[in-house]
Amino acid sequence: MTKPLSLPIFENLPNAEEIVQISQWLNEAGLNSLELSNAHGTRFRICVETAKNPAESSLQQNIVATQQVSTDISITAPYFGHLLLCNPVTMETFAPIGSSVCKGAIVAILQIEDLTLPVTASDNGTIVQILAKDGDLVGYGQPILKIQSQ
Amino acid sequence: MSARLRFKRVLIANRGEIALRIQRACRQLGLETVAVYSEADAQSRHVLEADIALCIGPAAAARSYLDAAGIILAAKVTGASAIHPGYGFLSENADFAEAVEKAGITFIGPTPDSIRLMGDKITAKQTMQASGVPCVPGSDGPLPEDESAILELANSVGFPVIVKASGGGGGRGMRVVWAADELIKAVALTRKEAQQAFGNPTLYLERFMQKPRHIEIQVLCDTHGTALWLGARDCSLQRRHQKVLEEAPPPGIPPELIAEIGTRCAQACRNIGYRGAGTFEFLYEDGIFAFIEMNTRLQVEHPITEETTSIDIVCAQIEIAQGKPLNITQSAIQTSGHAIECRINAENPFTFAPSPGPISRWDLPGGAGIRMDTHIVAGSVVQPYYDSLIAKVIAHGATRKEAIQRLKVALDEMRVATIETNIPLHQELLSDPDFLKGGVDIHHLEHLLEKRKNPDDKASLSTDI
Repeated sequence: MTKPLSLPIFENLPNAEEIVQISQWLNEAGLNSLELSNAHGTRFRICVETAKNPAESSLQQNIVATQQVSTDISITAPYFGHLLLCNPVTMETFAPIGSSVCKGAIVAILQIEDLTLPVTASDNGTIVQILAKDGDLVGYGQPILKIQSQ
Repeated sequence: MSARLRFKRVLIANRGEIALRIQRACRQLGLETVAVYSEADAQSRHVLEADIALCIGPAAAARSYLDAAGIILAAKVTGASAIHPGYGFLSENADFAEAVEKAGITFIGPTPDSIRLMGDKITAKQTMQASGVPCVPGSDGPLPEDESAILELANSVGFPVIVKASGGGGGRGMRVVWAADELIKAVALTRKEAQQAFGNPTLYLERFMQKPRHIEIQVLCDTHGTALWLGARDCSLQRRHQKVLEEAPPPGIPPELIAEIGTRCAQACRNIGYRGAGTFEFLYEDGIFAFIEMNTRLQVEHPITEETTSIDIVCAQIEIAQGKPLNITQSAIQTSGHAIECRINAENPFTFAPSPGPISRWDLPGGAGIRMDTHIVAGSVVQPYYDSLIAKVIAHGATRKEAIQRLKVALDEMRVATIETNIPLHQELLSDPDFLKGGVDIHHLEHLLEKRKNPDDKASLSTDI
């Protein structure tokens, strides 16, 4: 099977100055990494180390304070693909059991060939169960994690 | 044991009975299957039995069975290197076929160019005319100005004729002319209307087929220059352009005439480099065949041809896609006996309202000459989102009479609860004197249903406001 895509060719990689500029742009755009890859398997990746966002943790405390009823909610796959429970850049688990997540936070990634699609929390809560294994091929709508909303 | 196969795992981009039919063919050829399905079909039989099953979207077909990009990605992530599109959905989508091949996956079907060529009715008709496939007889171009020339042309085509505006469409700008003495007036009137309505006075003329039958020819072509025709089917029993019951061979049409048309269809396939299975659809009246369109895919009614020729069309499609030659010659293809298929739909047999829901009882018929193509099992749920076809009952007999007799018994044996089906309609059809005679036209079923609604046949004459 021949893949038609051989771009980018990675002949000219950015220099140190340009990398600083790119990481600034990433920061401004609220992104933490950029990755380019071609069909030959060559990958170029820039990631930005982000400091813990203080606003996020105070938000979580607010939620604990205002919501009392707790229910288990399944987070389901928004499409199909291979499940990545760890950030491929930092190798950190997105949402380990016991961690708190906010609505919209990335809890896993679906890898579909060259595409990646985030799986996001549908509500604020605590991860109580992981229902699928890292690397599994999951289908649309398949439950991946269970969160207990608080 | 074939040393080199183009593909060993086939993704079935369809649902229902045809998905199961394709899966069976793959299994018989030693190939693995991937079932891609919508959430609504999670419990479907072919999904549960597939080697790999992947839910690709919600019930809405646009986000599952019609998600072309998603289906190609699904093939990639499941390691399928061929896609069978079945019928409906993406089966006649040239862009999809092209995207599949661009992704390095084998499309089990014709080339995107063939699909495109036949998808356009004008280019399809021109291509067929060039290959000697008969089309509706007519002026084959704009009508002349000269009155006697028009009259001569119409006489050679044969009355009644239909005069059509070249720029017309949607049923506008056309007039049926029953006899020669009405022709000149009708042409003048239509020309005036055409000028006013479409700004183009160009007219053409075709023979008006009043009571045609729907006859179609099955073809099968490999990539080594072999193009075969596998006999004809009669699909005249239709309701709202949907086929209800089909039979092979068409009763009362001389086999030599069918052979002549079949030979031309096969030649047309060679001329355009057609690949895989296809169907040429014709209107047939008074011994004249007129090409309507070509379906560049597997047809729902393919089993009746399989029964009469003993050729597995789906297996052949897959083998052709593998690049293998068809190991059969035209002279070896014989039509044996008679086959009839009843399409069983989950619908009210009188109002035709869909009848989705759980099936609690599903007793199937059996015995000599009976074939059931269905994905339903007891406990299945008929989904409201898709086509209501739940089964095809196919009867084969040495004669038409025997096939009808076997089919009658089979339908009587079927027990389905608690949804409604159109089995009572099929039972009625199989006892209809005109059907038993054979050779009814494409309006017959609609007339029969009209009569059923108004048994005294007076209601249609009453003046409604």
